[in-house]
Amino acid sequence: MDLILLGFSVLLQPSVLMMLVLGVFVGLVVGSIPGINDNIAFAVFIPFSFSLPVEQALALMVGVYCAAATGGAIPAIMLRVPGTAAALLTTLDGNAMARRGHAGRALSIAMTSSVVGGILSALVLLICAPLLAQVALRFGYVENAALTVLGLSCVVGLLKNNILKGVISAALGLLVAMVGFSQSTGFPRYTFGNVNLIEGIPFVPLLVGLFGVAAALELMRDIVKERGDESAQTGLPKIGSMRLEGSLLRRLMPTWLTASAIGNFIGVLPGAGMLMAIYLAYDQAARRFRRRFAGQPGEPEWGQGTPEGIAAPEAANNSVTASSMVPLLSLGIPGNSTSALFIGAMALHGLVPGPLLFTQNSGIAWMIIVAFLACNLVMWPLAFVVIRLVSGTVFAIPRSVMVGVILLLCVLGAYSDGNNLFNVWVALVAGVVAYVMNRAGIPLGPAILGLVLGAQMEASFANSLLIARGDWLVFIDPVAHPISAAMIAVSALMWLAPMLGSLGRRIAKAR
Amino acid sequence: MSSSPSARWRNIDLWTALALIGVAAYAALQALSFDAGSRPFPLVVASVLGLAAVMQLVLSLREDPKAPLGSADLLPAGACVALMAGWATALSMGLGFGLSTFVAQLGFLALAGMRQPVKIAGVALLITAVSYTIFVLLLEVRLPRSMLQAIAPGL
Repeated sequence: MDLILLGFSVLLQPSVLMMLVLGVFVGLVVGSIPGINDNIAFAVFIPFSFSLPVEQALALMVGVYCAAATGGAIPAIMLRVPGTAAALLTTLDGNAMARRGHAGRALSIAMTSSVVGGILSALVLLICAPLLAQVALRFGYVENAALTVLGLSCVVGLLKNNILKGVISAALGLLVAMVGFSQSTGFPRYTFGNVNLIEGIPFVPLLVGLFGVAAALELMRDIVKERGDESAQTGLPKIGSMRLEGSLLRRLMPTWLTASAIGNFIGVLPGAGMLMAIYLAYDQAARRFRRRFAGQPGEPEWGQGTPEGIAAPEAANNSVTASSMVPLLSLGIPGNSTSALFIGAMALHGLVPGPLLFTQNSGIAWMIIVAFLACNLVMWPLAFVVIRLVSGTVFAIPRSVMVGVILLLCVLGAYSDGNNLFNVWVALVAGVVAYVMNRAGIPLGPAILGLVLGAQMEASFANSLLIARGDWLVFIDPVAHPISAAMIAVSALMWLAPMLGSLGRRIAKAR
Repeated sequence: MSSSPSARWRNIDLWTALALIGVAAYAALQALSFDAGSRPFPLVVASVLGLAAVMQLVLSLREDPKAPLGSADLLPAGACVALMAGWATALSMGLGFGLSTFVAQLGFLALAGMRQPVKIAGVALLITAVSYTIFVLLLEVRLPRSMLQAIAPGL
């Protein structure tokens, strides 16, 4: 309890609270602009957060991260264009309800569901992260090495249809992580004689490129592709009343709980991502709707404006936000690529996420946790203000103006990390690589995790093998290192399950 | 196996696999020159990357490309990168933030389909002025020296 109060005492400083509110506002607006997602906002904000005190910088980041997923629902409902990928399924029932004259109701369901999901997820973070960090504090080199294997296996294994490309992505990330002086011997690796690479590829410009520049290139590609395909733009639906009746709130309660449970479970798995959560939650909500409400008078078809069709994906996507911070804060493993950007933001202030954060910087660690709770409370009233604002102004900004602005913000952000033009080149090259990876269907998540875990993985393996005198079996020794053995077993399952599944399907087909 | 030869050559999987094989081979060769303590991990990772890339190459030769790479995928992104590279080069040559940013924004707006010259110039000027005010005057980002340094820092 004292630690929670410690977190609140940091968060409730006026300047920190103001940054959280600003972050929520920016996140809602950014999320509501189609084509601009939370990754871009993060990529742009991280370098500039360096000039802020660490508490303010992280409060800003938490606000943006939480609110962007919620803001994505606004254009999904009003324009049938998801503001972020997390609002993909909200377009179906949300826009259908808006077109039937209940845009305000659809928006209100989306915002309320997001807040409910976000609060439940913040509670999961509040309970799980410190507990997991306590366990992780007992980890030695062997367990840490197994943990990095587990992290990468989760990300790659969950790709199911594309394990090969996941392996390529992870290996690329690990290779890039090795640029610079070797931690064990000080030998310069892959520096090409460039002094800027001696300490490794600068992390912030790299993230800015991978997320911001690549997204801007994608946006330009979409704009050019769609130029000749301008379908007649229909006017925005009228928002109308945003009041939700008590009976509807009671009806949505099971959907919120189920979707939040799914979102929280998916969120804590490294690399599982929001999309998986919203699809699973949407599917569960569809089953419940068909069982309880389908065919009743006044009830639309599934996908044609049902309240559950909006509530489930929105509660699930916001449940992922805070719960994806559980592995990051407690183990140093990002739950998804956006939460990986927190590592960059924290690194700028000399903080390293992981179990030691709770002992060395407990005020900051608990501030981040309670900020997730607070930002959902702030978001609920603010979202309704932003809905009116966005509908009137933001939707009017042409996308043609955005690409240049985003790219300029990205390169200036990269440059300002040390006022070095080399960083601009890093961001551009990283942007091109990420764009090509996107086009080739190579997922970015494993590469990010490889980048983050590369040094830790190498050092943990080297030290473990040194202590065990080169005995590789040390990692699966169930007596001396049961946690490591369990993690390696789960990792093996993550790799084998999709392969066995595919083999089973082939055998069944052959019969 | 039924795809036309031209579609196969436009298969992005094929080209990325070839590029990755090159990267892996280079990384492995470089790793061999590292000292004994720094060598094993990069060597293992480069080998895994190389093996995965070879498998990807084989798959790309066996399967039809799902969506062959077209000029629509490459040209807009390539032009954006060229504009930003030009911006960075101009900045390093001392042309200054104002002129470099204005020209780059003109390019972006034209590329994105804006056609009225006056509107393009106005929007580019506005973006340049606002970004200079925010980054240089408010956030105090120190830009490289420029030929208009006497008027305003970095301009």
